[in-house]
Amino acid sequence: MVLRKMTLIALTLMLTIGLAACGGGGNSSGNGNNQAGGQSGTDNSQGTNETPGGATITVLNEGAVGVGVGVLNDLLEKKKQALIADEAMNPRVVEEDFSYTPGEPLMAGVFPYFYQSIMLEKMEAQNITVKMEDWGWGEQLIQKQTAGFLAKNIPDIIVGETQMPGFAQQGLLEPFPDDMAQEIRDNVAPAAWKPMEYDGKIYGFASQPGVSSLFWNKKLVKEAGLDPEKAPATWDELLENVQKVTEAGKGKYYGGGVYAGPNAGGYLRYGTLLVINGGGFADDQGQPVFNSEANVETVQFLKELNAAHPAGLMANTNEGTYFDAFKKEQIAYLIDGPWRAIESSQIGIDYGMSQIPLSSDGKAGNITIGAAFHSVPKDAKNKEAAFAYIRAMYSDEIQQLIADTGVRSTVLKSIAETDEYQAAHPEMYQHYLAMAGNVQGLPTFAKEDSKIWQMFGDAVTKSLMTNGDIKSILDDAQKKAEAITK
Amino acid sequence: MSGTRNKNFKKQFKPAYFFGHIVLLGIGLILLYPLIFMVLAGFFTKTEFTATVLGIFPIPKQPTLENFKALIIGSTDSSVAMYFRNSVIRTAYNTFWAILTSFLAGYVFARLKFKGREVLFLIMLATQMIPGTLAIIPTYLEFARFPFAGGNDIFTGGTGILNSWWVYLIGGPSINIMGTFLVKQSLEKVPIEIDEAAIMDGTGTFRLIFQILFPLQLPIMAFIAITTALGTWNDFITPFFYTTNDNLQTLPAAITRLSSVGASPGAVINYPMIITLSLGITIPALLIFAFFQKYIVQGLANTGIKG
Amino acid sequence: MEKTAEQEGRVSFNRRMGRHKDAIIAAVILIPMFSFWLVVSGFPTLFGFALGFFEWVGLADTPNFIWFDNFVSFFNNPVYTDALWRSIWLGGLVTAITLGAGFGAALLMNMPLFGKGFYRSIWYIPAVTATVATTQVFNIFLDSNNGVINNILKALGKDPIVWQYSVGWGIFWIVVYSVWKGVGGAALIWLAGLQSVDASLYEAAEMDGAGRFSKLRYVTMPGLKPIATYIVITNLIGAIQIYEQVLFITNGGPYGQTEVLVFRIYRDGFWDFNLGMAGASSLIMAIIVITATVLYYNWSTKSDKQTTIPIKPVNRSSKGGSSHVRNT
Repeated sequence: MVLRKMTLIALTLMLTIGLAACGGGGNSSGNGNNQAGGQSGTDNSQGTNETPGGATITVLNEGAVGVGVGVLNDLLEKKKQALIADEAMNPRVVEEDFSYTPGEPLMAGVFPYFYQSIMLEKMEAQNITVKMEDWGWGEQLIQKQTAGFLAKNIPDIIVGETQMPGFAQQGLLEPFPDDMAQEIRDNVAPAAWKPMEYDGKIYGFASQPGVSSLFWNKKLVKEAGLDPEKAPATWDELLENVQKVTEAGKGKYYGGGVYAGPNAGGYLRYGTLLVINGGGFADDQGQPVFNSEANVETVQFLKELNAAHPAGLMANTNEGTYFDAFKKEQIAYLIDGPWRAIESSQIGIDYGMSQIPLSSDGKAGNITIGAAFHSVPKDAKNKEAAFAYIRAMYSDEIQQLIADTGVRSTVLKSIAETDEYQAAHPEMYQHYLAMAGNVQGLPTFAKEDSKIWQMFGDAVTKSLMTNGDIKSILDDAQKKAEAITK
Repeated sequence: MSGTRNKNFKKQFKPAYFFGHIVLLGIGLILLYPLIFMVLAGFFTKTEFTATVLGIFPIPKQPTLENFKALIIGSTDSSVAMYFRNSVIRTAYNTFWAILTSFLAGYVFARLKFKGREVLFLIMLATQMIPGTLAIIPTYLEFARFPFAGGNDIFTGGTGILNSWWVYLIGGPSINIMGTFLVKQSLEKVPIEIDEAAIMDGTGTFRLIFQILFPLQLPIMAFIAITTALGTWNDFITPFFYTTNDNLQTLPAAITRLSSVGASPGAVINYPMIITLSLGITIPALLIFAFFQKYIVQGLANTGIKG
Repeated sequence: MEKTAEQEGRVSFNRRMGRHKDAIIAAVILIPMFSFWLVVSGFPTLFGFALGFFEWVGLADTPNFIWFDNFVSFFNNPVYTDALWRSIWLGGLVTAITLGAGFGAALLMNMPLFGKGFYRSIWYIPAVTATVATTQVFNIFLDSNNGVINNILKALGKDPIVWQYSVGWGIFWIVVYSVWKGVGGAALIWLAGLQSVDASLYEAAEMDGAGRFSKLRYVTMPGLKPIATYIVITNLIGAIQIYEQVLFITNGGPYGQTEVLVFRIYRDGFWDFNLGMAGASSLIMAIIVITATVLYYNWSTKSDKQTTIPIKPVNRSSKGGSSHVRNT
């Protein structure tokens, strides 16, 4: 009795709400533009402004170049004082560090300050005011962006990593204007934009993306009687090396290889091996291609690498654990983004760095990793000014700054392909070459993207953890995935 | 007084009491252990924490106070004081309303008879049964479309009550359902004759509720106050999702933001720092708890129901 | 509704007059609170439920009303039914252990022990901490390679355990974490309940020569009934919604075998943008929990009546209070 009445009430309400929800959505797109009331906190007054002059844009913050939240103009001096006062900085930052001549090396600690100074200068020249907001990162950021898209309450520039191609595919982002897209294609390494290309248009740009390289701990490799300066060039060599190191380690250290956990951290890294071997995750239509011959081979290779790890490390759910093992000198080899270089030297690990070895009939390929893609939402209030901001991100000045800091590579051909760059930052130049080659992003599946990813991730984990037949495990995942996407 | 104290002291050595001490202390310390670990971890530098093979009690070779300093000084400046103030105001506001609404509504559902009482109660209880994550998006939409607020013409055009104090204020006077449930259950154990006797003496409903029934429920009310205060204090979802202005942030939201910087692509996760920052949320929460918990013990000894 | 009518017959003329007044007082108190409540949680919740009747995949798409299709696919897909079943038994298990241990602790805390405020505090501390942070600490313990527990095992010359490979261990640690966090709160409520049991009842029982266990059985237990109803229902609601510890400790692994329904709802909503499926799953879960709650609530209040009636007259028989039995 009670239940019946409750269901009735609930149903009635639901119908009403459902209708109201649709109506609300429709209205907002119609009325959004002719709303003239200037409201503090947001910038509706600029809403209909077609020229970038005198505009204000809201930009989401990103950790690597963050200087705080608020109007950019007010933030820089505060950031400078904070950096000088910060005792945890290693090395400490002093007043003298705040001078920068393009072409001269720059200390990593003051990089965000100069990055934003240049951005500010460029924006002010076009009479654009920049307001920074911080929406967090990872899960929280995705949740907040999801809500923001639905409510059509979204900054002019949003930032994100693996979720961004999905937003593009759903039609939530504004494609770059044709001239801008052409400029990017002509001058910028694919790693910076290729993952955000969809249906022939570009939807996002990252100013300092990365691709994976092979790193190794020279000390451990030497202890195993191998040449620490020589990079393994093929999968077979790599396998042989990790096995030798594992033997030499006698349970104290292991050969290592690549992180293969069932999450984006794993897909981004072992995905490069799939790409190299001519396999992959999805076809052009977003349909899964899990059980191809090439993939079975690659997973077989992963399984062999797994034997050169401490039990359970390679497919651990928590990716930090894997990199911890490298930092604790428990594994000798790993595949990771360019930041591994500076991090290793900071904790005193003598490391080697090279391109990822190739399989017997494979060809070089890579996946963009650690990229903060900047995109302009369809519902942005000031698209012109937002694109002007993104243009500044691949300007000579910003890219020169990235090149001079030397933590990541520049993506601009005109700066990277010079003798000076090659001489000053040989490793980053190698990294640039990898970014300029055959680089892609993680694909987005046709339907229920994360569920399909999970199926693949679980299948790989299962192949590593159990003695099951790899082909049939992948076949099974393929079948389950197709049932959803087709 | 001293007589009972003495008697109690002797009692402590009776087997049953001794057993009580052993169990409560023993298991209590086990429960406390992860926190002890967190405090110890707070004295590590990022580098040393990464390099150490952790044992049961990790002791740093070069203990550092940097993490705790960062916690106190915050990332930059005096904004920590503002976050702290916002947290305190929000906590006090929500706790006040939680006590008031749960007691009044608990009284209504326990003592008053009207049509549809049980149905109403069950419907409200039902809304507690869906995961909060599902409600985030609808709440966001509702706040964004709040009629006539924040530049909205009826539903659209502005940002509604998002990013304003209304986000915090609007939740307070809403009925606290779990609290209401608890008060209802607890009041049903108080003999109705107390009400009847009071009404016969000419006491009004208002005085009956606040002067007679409320004092009887102090332990329960203390529990509601604790859970509400802690829930509000620890809540970073509300500030995080529904506001972006810096001057609306609370301490946990700011701390969450601070530690999410470590999650940017390629950044090293600074475990000691994250752990210390989360201790920073926990410690004030513990003080809140310590403040309220003694009211739970007070029990009914001095409230009259016994006599 | 028949129930109230039936009871009405037993209520005296006096009470019937009072009922009109009751309704007015109730309205004055409840209507303001209720309107705020509608805005803050009633409306968003119903909105979420309503989504279950729409196909809404992808943020830019228009919701499409599809009646019960989402519900049909829920019951046809083992991913969902398994997760639902796991939520139910995992929730039940966590509730049982939490409440059992909490009750034992509350009995001990109710003794006039020295330092009981201290005990209460240390038991409650886990509840105060933020899940995001403490699950990190659990992960530091459980790390297969450098975890504290495996370091100890290695030091003892034993083989380290790869927790992440095993469903059993995954579930075990989720339960341990949930109990760790919940037991102090349960103990506090039980304690508050114990202390509100009328002390004169104990005296009366002692005069009748009742021992420790008969007092527990015939005075404490019946006196705790209303609190027990509350604590069982709220803990079950909480335990069945466990997901943060799953997200942070096992992330559903190994290969999805520790996934619970709320975890799935979360993934549907925020990763697959399948808000329709998330709404449908929530509604199904809510219906199950509501049914269980209503059944338990009715059962417990009914049996409560039977066991408390013989006790009540001990209390205030002189005033003839037995004429009014607590209305349910």
